[in-house]
Amino acid sequence: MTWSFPLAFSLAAFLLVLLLRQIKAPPVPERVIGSIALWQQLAARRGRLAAGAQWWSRPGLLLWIAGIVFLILSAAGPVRWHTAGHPPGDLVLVIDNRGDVRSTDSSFWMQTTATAAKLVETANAKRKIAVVTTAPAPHVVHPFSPNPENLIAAIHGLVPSPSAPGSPTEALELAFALQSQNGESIVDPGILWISGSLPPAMTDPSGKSRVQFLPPTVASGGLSIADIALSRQPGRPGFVYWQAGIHNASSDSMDLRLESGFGRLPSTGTPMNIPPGETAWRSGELPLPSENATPFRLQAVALGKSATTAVSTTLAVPPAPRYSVEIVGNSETRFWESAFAAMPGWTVRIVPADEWQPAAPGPDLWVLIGIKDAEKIRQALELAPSWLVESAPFSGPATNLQPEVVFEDLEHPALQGVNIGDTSIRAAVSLAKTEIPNESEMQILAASPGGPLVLAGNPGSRADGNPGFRWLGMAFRPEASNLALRAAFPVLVRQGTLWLLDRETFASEVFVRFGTPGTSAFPGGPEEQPQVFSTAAWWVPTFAFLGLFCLALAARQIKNSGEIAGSREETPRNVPDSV
Amino acid sequence: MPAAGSSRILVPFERGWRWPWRTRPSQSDGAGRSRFHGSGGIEFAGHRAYAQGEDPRHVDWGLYSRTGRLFTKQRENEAGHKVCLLCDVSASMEVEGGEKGRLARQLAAALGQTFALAGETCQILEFAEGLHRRSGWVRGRGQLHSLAVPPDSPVPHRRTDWTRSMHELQALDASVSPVVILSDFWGGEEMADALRNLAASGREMLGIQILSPFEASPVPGEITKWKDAETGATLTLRPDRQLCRDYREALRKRNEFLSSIFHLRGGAFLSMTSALEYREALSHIANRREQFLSR
Repeated sequence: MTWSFPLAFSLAAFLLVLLLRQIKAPPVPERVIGSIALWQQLAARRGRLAAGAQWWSRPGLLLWIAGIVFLILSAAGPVRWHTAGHPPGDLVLVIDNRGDVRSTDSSFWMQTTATAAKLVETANAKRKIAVVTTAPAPHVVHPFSPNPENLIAAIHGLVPSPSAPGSPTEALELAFALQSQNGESIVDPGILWISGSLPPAMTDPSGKSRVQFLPPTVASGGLSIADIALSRQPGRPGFVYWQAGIHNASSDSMDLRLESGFGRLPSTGTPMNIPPGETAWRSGELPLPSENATPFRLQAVALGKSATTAVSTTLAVPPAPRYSVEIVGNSETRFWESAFAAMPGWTVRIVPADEWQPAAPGPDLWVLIGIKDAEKIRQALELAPSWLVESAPFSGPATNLQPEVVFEDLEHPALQGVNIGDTSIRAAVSLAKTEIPNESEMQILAASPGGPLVLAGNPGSRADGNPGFRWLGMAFRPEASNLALRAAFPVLVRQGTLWLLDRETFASEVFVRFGTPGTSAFPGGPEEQPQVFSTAAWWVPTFAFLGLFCLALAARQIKNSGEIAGSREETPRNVPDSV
Repeated sequence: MPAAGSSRILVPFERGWRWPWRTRPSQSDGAGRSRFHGSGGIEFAGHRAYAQGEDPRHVDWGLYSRTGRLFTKQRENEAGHKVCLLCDVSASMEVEGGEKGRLARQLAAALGQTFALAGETCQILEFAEGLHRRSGWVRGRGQLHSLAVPPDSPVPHRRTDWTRSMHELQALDASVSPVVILSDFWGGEEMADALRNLAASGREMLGIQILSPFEASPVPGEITKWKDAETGATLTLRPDRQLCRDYREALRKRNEFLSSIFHLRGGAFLSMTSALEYREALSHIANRREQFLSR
C-alpha cells in the first residue's frame, strides 16, 4: 500500500498531463465532401492506422488513465496469496554470545535478545524457527518450531558466555546442517546472524540458505541506528574504526549530537541536523582502552528533547580475526611479513617456494602472496605498493592523492560481495601496465580518475587442464587507505585468493557489504500474516473490476475509432471496379 | 459567370449546334411538340452550323449572304429528339461553396437552351431523393426563359435516391428519348443498377460528372475529419501522398466503370471539375473529351 498510492497518483498525474496536452491541442479540422465512400475503401485496404487515423479518442484516453490507476490501487490491496504446501522458509537464528559480545553493560545483551524475540514475535505464524548459539560450544538451543512462546522462552534463557571463545564457524555449520536436514523448508530458507561482530565468511555448502547479518539496534523517539560497522584498524591495535547511520523516522527535523566511546560517554560531539525520513552517516575512530574486547557504545542524543529520545547501541569490538598469510618468495617479501605482522590477528608465515602447496588447509582466511619470479607459483595475489615497483608487474608513475573509486566491476569473482565504491584511498598507486604480454587479457576491476586500482589478468588457458597464470593487483597503501578497515576487506582478499586458485568464490549474499544497512526484516521479505482473498478490503476487487472495465471500454474505443463514427449508411456507396 | 438566379441565356454554342445523338428520334413522340410541328415532317425547324461533307443543297445561301457563314437548314424530322436534362441537386453537389451544383445548373440551362435552339425538344428535371420537374418541354427560342439558371436553393443533407429518381423518370417519360445527367455520380450499387436499367430501356445517355477539385485530385495534407455530405458519416484520415495516389487510381477505375454503362447505348461519360468556368465546361462537352478537365 505504501508504494501503490504514490505510484498510482504519479501515473495519473502524468497521464492527465498528456490528456491536457491533447485537449489543448488544436482540434482536427472537419471537411465536408461529396462522399467518403472511396476513402473508406482505401482506408480499409491499407488499414486504418496506416492511413493515419487516430487510434485514440479523448474518452478513450480518460478510460486508459482510469483503468491503469484502478488496477494499481487494486494491486496494492492487502492480499497476500498463501500457497498451501509451501510454508514460509524456515529460519535459523544464530545468536552470538561469545566473548566478543560480552559486555559490562548488560543492556547490550538485552538488546540482542530483545531483537531476536521481536523477530520471533513478528514472524509468520507458519514459519518454523530454530535457535543456535555460539558459546560455550555451538549447539542448538531450540529446534525448529512454529511456537513463538517456546522460542522466546529459549531466547530469554540464553546467557552470554564471556569466558568461552566459541566458534562462529561451527555455529554457522550447525545452522547449515539444520537447514539441510529440515526437508520441509523449500522456500527461502534463511539464517540470521545476530551479533555485534562480523559474521564469519562461510556459505551454505548446499547453496540453499542465505545468511544475513543483523546488528542489534534499538529505536526510540523516531531515531534508530540504521547501521553500524566496526573494524579494528590494522597497524594500530589500540584503535577502532566505526561508521554508523542515524535514521530519523519521525516527521520532524532533529538536531542531534552523536556520542561515541567506551564506558561512560562524553557529552561532546558535533551537532547535526537530520531531516525527517533521512539518514545521516558519521564515522570516526577511537583508541581502545585495552586489548581485550570492549563494548563500544554509540548514542545519538536529540538536542532540546527529553532524554527518552536518545537512541543508543552498544557493539562489541570485533575479535581479532584468525587470518593467516602465507608468503611464498624470497627476501623481497619481507615487507609483507612486517606489514601483516603489524595487523592484529594476522598470522604471517613465509613458505619456501618448494614447500608451498596450493590446496593446503588454512585458517579462517588464508592469503597467499607470491612474486612474479616464483616459477612454481602460478597463482599469486600481488599487492603492489609503490616501493615494490621493481618486483611487481606494475609500476607506479604517480601517486593519486585522495582518489575516488569511480568504477568497479562487481561481476568479477574477486569482487563478489565486496563493495569498494565508497572506499577512501588517501594515497594510491596508479598501476601502469608493464610486463603484461597481452593487454587484452587484463581486466580493470576498479579504477580511479588517476588510473586503475585493482587489476586482474588471466592470460593462460585453462581449457586443457593447464592451471594457467592468474594475477591480481591492488594499488593502495595499507597504511594510507581505509580499505583494510572495511568489513569487506577480508572478503576481498579471500575472494581474490579463491579466484586465483580457480575455485568457486562465495555468493555475495553471504557477506556484509560495507554500508549495507542492517534491518530487522527476515531474509525473504517482510513478515505478514497470510491473508486469503476473502479477507481483503472491499476496494480491492472493486478497483480491480473498475480497472478492467475501463480498460475494456478503452480497447473498444480503439476499435470504434477504426469504424465510421455516426454512420447511418446501411450499405457502402462503393461501385465495383468491373461491370 | 452570371449571378445566381439570373435568367440570362447561356448559349455559347453556335446556333444549330447539336449533340450527335446516335439514336433516331421517335415519330410517335408527340408530347411537347412545338409550334413548328407540321405535316409531312419537312417543315423548316432551324439552322445549324454547316459540317464538312454535308449536302450543299441544304445550305441556307441567303443566310450565308447576310452573315458570311455557312448554315444548313434543319428540317422537322431532324429535330425529333426529346432530351431530358437531369440535374443532381442533392447535398453532395453543395459542398465546398456549392460550386458543383452551380456549375451543374448552369450547364443544364446552357445545354437545354442550345438543344431548344437547335430544334430539339428538351426539359430540365432536378433529382435528389426523387424527381422534380423544373421546366416543361421547350423547343425553339420562344420558351428559352423557362430554361434559365434557377436560383441556388439547395436543400441541405438531401440524399440522392437514384432508384426512385430513375423510376420516376421512366414514369414521366415513357419514350426512349436521350437523357443528359449532370451529377457527381457518388452513388453506390443502386446508382449503377438504376443507370443500367435506364440504358436497358433504350435511352441514350450522356453523363456529365462534376467533382470538386479535391474530389477529383486530392492533395496530401494534415489529418482531417472527412464528413459525407449526404450520410453525415465521418472518417478521420491523413491523406498522405500514397493515399492520394491510390484515390486517383480508384477514381479512374470507378469512372471507367461508369463510362461503360453510359456507352451501352452509344452515349458518353464526361468528367470535369467545378473549378471550370461554364463556357470551358461547354467547350469540353462539345469536344467530347472524356478525360478529366480541370484547371
